Amino acid sequence: MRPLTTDQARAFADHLASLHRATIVAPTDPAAVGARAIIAALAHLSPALDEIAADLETHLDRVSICIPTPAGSLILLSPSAVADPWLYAMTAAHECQHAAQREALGWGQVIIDYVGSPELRARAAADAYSVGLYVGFLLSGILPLASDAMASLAWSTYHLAPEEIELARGVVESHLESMASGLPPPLAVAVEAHAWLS
Amino acid sequence: MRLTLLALLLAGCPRLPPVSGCSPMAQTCIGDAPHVCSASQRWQRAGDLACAAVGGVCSVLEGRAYCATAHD
Repeated sequence: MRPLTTDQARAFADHLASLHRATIVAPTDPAAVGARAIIAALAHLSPALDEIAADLETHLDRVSICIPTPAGSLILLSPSAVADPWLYAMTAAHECQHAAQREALGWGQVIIDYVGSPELRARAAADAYSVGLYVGFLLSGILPLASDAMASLAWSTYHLAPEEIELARGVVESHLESMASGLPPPLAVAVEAHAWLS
Repeated sequence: MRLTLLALLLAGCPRLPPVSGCSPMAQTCIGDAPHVCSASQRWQRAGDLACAAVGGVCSVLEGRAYCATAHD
């Protein structure tokens, strides 16, 4: 078990965010109000966005999100994510993986992929959950189980069909096997997290 | 903003990998990276780095593709 203070968790999160043009917004930050307004607006833009955005709007107290923008990514942490230093670090790493995806694909394409393809959404979410699990592994020394992520991935917010959840399970299990062999999963944010926490 | 988003959505489609005919949920190594076969029979990459970037090599053990240390 590795102790982690809230200040250390924030420093860790800010370091990862700085590597991926992301800005982390705490729930009490005035910017969080603006971000919630964006989500509410998205919920009314099109049927394709309506279900996902409406669910996020409803669950923002428990769900942290990464909003891609042309200037970078805005990471909005939930109140529950900032209540515990370990959870803060794991959640921030998860969201920074989404910021890395935005950097790799561009902000427009990452939205198109995430909204337009449940298959790509499943894969992207599985990578992000795996980064969070890896940070938890680095902090606790306890190898996580796929079920730790699958309960969240199967949650209605992601709107994944059973076959897409199974794809996500395959991706998570592959990453867990890499962790079990003593290596970081092949994810840039995981490597960055390992370097910072080591 | 509505028009911007509409234009964005019309400008492109999701970039899915090509259909390969793989068996759904099968795993393999492609280009030193683990891949998982989707229900639409596309190889979806697990991760965004090659295994060499984390000091390993992609291996398949009991149907599971992952990054293994060199001596695994």
